[in-house]
Formats: sequence, structure tokens, C-alpha cells
Amino acid sequence: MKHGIAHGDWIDYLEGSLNPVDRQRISLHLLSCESCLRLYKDLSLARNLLIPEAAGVRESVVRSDMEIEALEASVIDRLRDCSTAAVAERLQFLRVLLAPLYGAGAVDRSIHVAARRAANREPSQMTIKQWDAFVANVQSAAGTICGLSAAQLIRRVTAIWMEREVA
Amino acid sequence: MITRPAEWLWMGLAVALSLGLVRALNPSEATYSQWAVVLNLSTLPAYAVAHWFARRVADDYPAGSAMRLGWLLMAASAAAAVVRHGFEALAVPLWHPAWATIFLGIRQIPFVLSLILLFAALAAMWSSYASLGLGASLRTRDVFFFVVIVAMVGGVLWGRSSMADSVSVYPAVRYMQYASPVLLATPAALGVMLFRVSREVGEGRLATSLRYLVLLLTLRLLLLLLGALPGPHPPAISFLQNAAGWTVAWLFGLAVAYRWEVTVDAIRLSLDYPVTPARGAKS
Repeated sequence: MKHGIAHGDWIDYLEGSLNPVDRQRISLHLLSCESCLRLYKDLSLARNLLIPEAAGVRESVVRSDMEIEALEASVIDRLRDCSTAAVAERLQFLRVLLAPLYGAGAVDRSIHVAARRAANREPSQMTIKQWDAFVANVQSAAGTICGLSAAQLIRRVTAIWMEREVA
Repeated sequence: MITRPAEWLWMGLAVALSLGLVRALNPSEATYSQWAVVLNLSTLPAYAVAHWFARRVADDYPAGSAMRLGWLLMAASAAAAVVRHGFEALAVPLWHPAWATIFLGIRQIPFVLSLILLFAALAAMWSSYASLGLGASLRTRDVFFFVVIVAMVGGVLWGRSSMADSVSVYPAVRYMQYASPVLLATPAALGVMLFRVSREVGEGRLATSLRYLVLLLTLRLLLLLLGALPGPHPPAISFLQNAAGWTVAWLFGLAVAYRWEVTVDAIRLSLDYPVTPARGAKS
């Protein structure tokens, strides 16, 4: 439970089955809590991705192997897109947070170098799986030119995302 | 903890500029010694503050890193400047033609040391930025600035006989004085690279700090050039000389203080993201 909202409350809120009092309480809380708003958006996104796939499975339980493989491939593609989008959102947050202090150029450069070192690809192509390695590298790159305080700030912000994922 | 030192330094700069302008309006030779003492004493707090904050900034970098070394050298350069101006403030009251040529020239030792340390500091800083590809390539405009710096050095060397310590009885002092244009030009050349870094970094507070540093390096070289011009100087040059001469130390302080404020803001922002205990950890 975080900020007085249980996991089950979130599911009921998304399904629209939560009682009116709690529904209003969560709606008001979302107006003032950025971290819960992000969590809500993530949950909504995951739910919206799963609904069409679940509907497809429900329509026809019996599928050929080829159809099942195609379905799996479709799910994996959608998850990959979702993963890249989640990374893009996090990178954007880091840019907005750090640019006033260190400059957009320095932040972009650190992110670019870290993505190259962690995943050997552009930041926009990174997936969630490569995130941990990226965070370690971006802390190192930012620490080189901006100092340990910058590395610590990145560590703390990213720790919150990690915590949310574990939850 | 002082979190906004730049505001105080701006006030110090305003006071120093006012004194410089008063001096420019009263260019009497009879009060030269008194004004020289005031000038040297007024720069001491600026360099002392720069030294203190440079050490704090150095502490923000990992041990053994080039940037940490750079800021430690910057702090050492500021300390050498404190020694130089402190010495001058004490020595000038003893001003006498005989004493001046023998005794005052010793100021060249901390002055040259300060410039060498500054150059080493800037080189270490630039190497850190360049390791991430910032300020690693030259543009046409940068080449133009290098040419201007070389031209200014040529101008200073041409008028070197007008420099204060060029008539010292000690050859070492004279040589150090002659070397000062080159010693000022090399940090200024690195300043061009740091200006490139500041352009590539963007519009953050880090860039502001770098730009003050570049302004300081440019003004110091310009001051040396103006000092080497054969006198008497026209009022406009005298005005510029006083305005720049009295404020340049405070620009150094501002450059370091702005960098320190970046660290303070980063620490403050970190506190907005509290660390939660690991799951399963015993409290």
C-alpha cells in the first residue's frame, strides 16, 4: 500500500468498480501526487494492452500452433513497444529534472554515452531490460562532469522507479 | 550552509566596481599607494571565497577523477592569488622607488604560480568534458578567438617594457614578468575550449559558471594588454582598466560560486526523493 491506496483499490479503480467515496479520494489524490499519477498511467496502459489480447483468446480457445505463435509474437511486440515507451518516459523525466542544472546538452550527452555503453544502441531504442546497466553508466557519466551529487540524484530518482516495478 | 553565495559576491563586485570607478575619476599619482592597498585588500575576500568553494566543489567529484583534480588546482590557484595580493597589500605601503624595484617584484612568484595552477586546472576540467565528447572539436569561430589571443600576446610582448616589474634588478623577476603574457594566454586559449563546452552543454547553471570563467580569462588578458600600452592612457582606457581590474577577482569568485550552487541544488533535489528501506530489511 502506498499513500493509503491498496493494490486492490487500483484494480477496482481501473475497472470502475470501486465505491464512490474511495473513487473520489483516489481521483483527488491523483491531482496532487505525480508518482501515483504515473503509476495510474502505467497500469492503464498495461490494462489496455492486455484487454484486446484477452478478448482474442476468449473468442477462440482452440488455436493452431501457428496461430498461437503469431499471437505470442504479437504480445511480445506490444510489450516491447510498451517497454521502449516506458524508457522514453523515464529519459524525458531525467532530462526535465537535470537540464536546468547541468544543461540539456550535458544531460543528453551523458544519456547518449550511457546508452551506448550499456546497450550499444541509441537511448530511444533501449528497453527496460537494459535499464539497470544504463542507470549505472549514466551515473558514472554524469558523475564525471557534474559530480557525485548529480549521480546521487539520478540514483534516488531511478530507485523510485525500481521500487514501483518490484511492487 | 551558505546556499546562495553568488548574491553576496555580486554585492562585493558592485562595491569593487564602484571603488574602481572612483579611482578612475581621481587618477592622481599622489594617492597611488593608498589605492593600490585598497585594490589588493578588496580582492582578498573574492579569492578566499573562490578557494573555499572550489575545494567544496572538488569534494563533489570522485577521488582520482580529472575534474576533482581540476577543482583542487583551481583552489590552489586562488590560494596563490591570495598570497600575491596579500603580499602586495603589505608591500605597497613600503613603496619607495628603491624598495619597489627590489622588493615588490617578488609578487611575480605567486602570480606565475597562480597562472600555472589555473592552466593545469582548466586543462584537467576540459579533459573531463572532452571524455564525453563535449568541447572536443573546434569551430571556425574558435579559431578566430585563438588568432585574437595570439595577437593580444604579440601586443603585450611588444609593449613589455611598460610593465611594472620589467625593470626589476632580479633577472628571474623580469623573466617571469615577460612570461606572464604567455602564461595568461594559455588559460585564455583553454577558455576558448571551455566556451565551446558551455555552448554544447546548453543553458543550465553549469554553463553559466563556465561562461564567467571564460569572461574572467579574457578580461585578465585584456588587462595585461592595456597595462602594456604606452602611457599616458586616454580616459576611456583608464576607465576600462579600472573597471576590469577591480572586478576581475570577483568574477573568479562568481564562476566558482555558481558551480557550487549547482551542487547544492542537486543535493536539495535528491532530498525530494527519499530513499525507502529495502524490502525485508530490519529496522
